[in-house]
Amino acid sequence: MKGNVSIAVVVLAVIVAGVSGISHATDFSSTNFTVKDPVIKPGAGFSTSTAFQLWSAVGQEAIGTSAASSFGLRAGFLYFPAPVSPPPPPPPPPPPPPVGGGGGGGFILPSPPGATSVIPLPPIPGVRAPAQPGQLVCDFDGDGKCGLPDLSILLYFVDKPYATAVSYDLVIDGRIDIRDMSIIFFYWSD
Amino acid sequence: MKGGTVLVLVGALLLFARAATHAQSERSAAPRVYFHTEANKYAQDSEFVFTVLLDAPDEVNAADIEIGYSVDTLEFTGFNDAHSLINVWQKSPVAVQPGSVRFTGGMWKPFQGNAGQLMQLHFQAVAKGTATLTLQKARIYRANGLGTLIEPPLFFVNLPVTEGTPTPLLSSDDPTPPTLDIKRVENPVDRSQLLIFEAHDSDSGVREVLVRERKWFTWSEWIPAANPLNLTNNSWMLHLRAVNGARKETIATVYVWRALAAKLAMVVILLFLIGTVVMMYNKRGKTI
Repeated sequence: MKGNVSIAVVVLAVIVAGVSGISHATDFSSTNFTVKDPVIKPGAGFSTSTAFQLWSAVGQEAIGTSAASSFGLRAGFLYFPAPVSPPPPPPPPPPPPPVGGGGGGGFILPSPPGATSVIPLPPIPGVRAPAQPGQLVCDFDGDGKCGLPDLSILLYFVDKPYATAVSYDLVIDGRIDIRDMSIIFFYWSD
Repeated sequence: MKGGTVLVLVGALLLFARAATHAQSERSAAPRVYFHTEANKYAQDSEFVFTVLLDAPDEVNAADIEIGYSVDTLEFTGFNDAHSLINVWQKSPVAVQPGSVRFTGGMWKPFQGNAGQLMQLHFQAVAKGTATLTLQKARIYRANGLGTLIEPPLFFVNLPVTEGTPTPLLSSDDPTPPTLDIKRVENPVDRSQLLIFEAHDSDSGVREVLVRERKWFTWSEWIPAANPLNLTNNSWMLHLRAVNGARKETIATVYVWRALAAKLAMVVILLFLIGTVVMMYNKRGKTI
């Protein structure tokens, strides 16, 4: 009897361990972000200090990058994006936030006065830097030419809100349509 | 011992289920390009439809496909894009070189699902033997706003071409000519005038779009049109001709007003100069 109970306990433990490993993580996105493989854990609460506020951190599995005019946040560690260029010298450090919960990310606002830190951010749909001098206006993916990837990107923004797609309005007529594609076709190269 | 065996079996079963789930997830992310024909062999001189299909578990919106065919047994005779997922074309499908057909374009609406038709190609079996059709290039782009490239696996199929009664040549009863929509665009870079066209035919498909231009009084030859057309000051009038699979056609006329004004100004100046010369000549004649 005791042996059967032990076996049952072990079998139950194996089932729980196995089933818990079968998890599905489907990307979710908005018009201007994508969270890869999100398995979000409950986060910490609301915390404040003299120079910042922390609003509801999330667990480490939630990865991504957030930004405002004066700060950047890299959350999570599984797909942590590598910096494109070294960040500038950090401003005087604010007091450490009185929060716990490990390496989860969170929004910090507002930033301390005089803070100018800029963290390079990976490209995300909907955010496109203006074309530099000498750069093709329709080279959305930055490969030095206008082609099918750029057409794919433009088509993605056809039915998106104009505020999101404004930087892809190549002919600046208030909409994304075949006219903008004509510019890609004009500069087309395989 | 018996309990231990059960334990091992249950554990193995769970691990297998987990691995299978993971493998399924990985597989489902990749699109697949494949072919469909009505028969698995054809009699010599038969013409047949060769359909290129796409399975896309995730949304895609652009494709670049190149199909190779054996020139000793097959001849490319045309295509039908009436039901193609691709509806934004730079160029219609073209035989880039003997033995190879390529088509490239985008989709207004992203496609997600199975058996989406990319193109119907028409071939004629011209000689007995083995006809080989190869997926030489397949570039599919995810509709995610990032231009993410996915390259499905390449492959080939063999179709025996035998003796026998050839199937009738493909004919199309399409009484409706294609539609031709034309828009003018200003190039934001150099302010030049561009013309972009969209030709559609929901029955027999658009076979070709041709253009000819008039610089002064005579027309140039018809040549294949590629999007967009650059409107220079040399031509003051253009004809665009869209032809469908049933050889019905639609012709649109486009005036390049800037060029027309420039040419009219040149004519006026020329007439003025001629008039001035004639008047001077007459005046001098009277003086003499």
